[in-house]
Amino acid sequence: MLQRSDISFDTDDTGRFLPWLIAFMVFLAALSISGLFVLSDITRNLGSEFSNKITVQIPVSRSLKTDGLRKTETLRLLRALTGVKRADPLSTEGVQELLKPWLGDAATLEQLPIPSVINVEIDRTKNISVKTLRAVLLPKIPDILVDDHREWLNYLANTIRSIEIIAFSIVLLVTLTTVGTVIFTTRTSMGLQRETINVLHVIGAHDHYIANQFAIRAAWLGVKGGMLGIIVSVPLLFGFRFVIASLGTHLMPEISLHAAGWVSVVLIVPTIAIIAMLTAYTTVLKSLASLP
Amino acid sequence: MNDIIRFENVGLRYGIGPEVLQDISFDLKPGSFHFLTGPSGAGKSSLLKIMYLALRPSRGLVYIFGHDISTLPRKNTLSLRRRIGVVFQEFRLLSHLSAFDNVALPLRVTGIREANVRKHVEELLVWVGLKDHMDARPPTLSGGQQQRVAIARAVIARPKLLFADEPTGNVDDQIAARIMHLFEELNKTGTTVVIATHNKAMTNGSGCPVMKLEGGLLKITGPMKKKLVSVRHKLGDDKKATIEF
Repeated sequence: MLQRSDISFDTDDTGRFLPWLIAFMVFLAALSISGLFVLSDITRNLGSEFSNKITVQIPVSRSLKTDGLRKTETLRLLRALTGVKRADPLSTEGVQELLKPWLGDAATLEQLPIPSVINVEIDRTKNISVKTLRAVLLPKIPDILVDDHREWLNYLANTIRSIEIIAFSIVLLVTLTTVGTVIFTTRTSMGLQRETINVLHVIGAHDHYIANQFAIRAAWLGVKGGMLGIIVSVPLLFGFRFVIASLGTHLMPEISLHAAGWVSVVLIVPTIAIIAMLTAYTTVLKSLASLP
Repeated sequence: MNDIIRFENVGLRYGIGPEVLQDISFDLKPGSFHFLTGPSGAGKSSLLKIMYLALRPSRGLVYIFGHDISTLPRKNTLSLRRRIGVVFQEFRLLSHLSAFDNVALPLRVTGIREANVRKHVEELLVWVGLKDHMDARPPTLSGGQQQRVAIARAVIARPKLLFADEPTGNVDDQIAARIMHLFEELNKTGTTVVIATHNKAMTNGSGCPVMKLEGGLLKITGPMKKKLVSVRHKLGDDKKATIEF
């Protein structure tokens, strides 16, 4: 223990069980909080990167010459529009690279009909949208496809938000479970230490004096359990990052935890210790109020 | 009201059971020395518990140091408890603490500086003859030594009121005489002492009022004014001119 205690917690088995449970809770909390940070990063990055981008696809026609003309005409129409900041055709190699995650080596085959792709960057403050582009392009090139990145970005953001809510719920559940467990173990411990508590009460110990001893012990068990949980979760987080990076695919966004994320994960330990300490303290005070 | 303790028609029952204490009325004057006797199950321990504020009566009025404990807020009983010393029947020493730490408890709970705690506790443990056992844990001490640790813990904070429940029940006559001498010395310094005992040799001819509990009723015999005859003579330890532990 951190300091001399008048209460013999060494003989109290509740102290053996609590750190393991807290370790598990901290482990779950660490994963959830890391997930929250990573998802928040992904949403922010995708938002800043793609929210003003539109992709125009010109399907292949019967002749290469026609394809070239259609591409030139589309570029001309796009660049003439107010609100279009840039309109850049993607090279055939660039398109093949985009198709690689789905088609593998087949994406590079010469025979494969590859559509022309134009990346368009717009300024949404200029009252321009995918509808405007379609209204201008479709009369000239009827089979042209115009995709607004924001549509699927919104869909992705909603999905990520749902996952964030689940992660928040896990953190909340972990907190409530920890509080409940500390209340239960503190009450059990008080039952085991009833004789000592009665003696301390009779000789004039203030309720806070007794509660402090339980609180310090709960905080210590919280630190022990928390450290254990962190020791298990941190290598796992590094492992996740390594595994995803080693997949070498562009399907997965880059997953990394920044400084704020790591600080938050480490702060779980003092937070859980403080929660355990305050819970034990108030539990003891409430129980002692029944003494004369 | 200058009584240390005053009971008026106090009754106590546990749950829905019969009253174990019925219409108890008495008062204890400052500096008095009383014995509390009665057969087993007569309610001695319950009466003591009410007096040292470990139990609230079911009815009646109890005044401790002039405060009506039925109307006294719980937080205010703390200062009263700190003026009371208790020697429990089974000692109730904390077995994981040394004799020193057990005796130091009443001082530490009041927040006294550790240097002062050490000074007072060492002095008292020397006085009760446990100089060489300060670091010993209670399970390694004999019954008599544990008794003295319990007594030292009860008196270390210089209580105004001291209760001892069968303080000589587990020790031989010689140690009992020494313990009684210690209580006499405390009483001489103004502490009101109440001793619950079965030992008739101790109470007979002591010159102290005897509170006898029987069937939940209290009867007080003996002089109401303190006239303490050295109890240790009754216990056969009269060969010693001075008492040394």
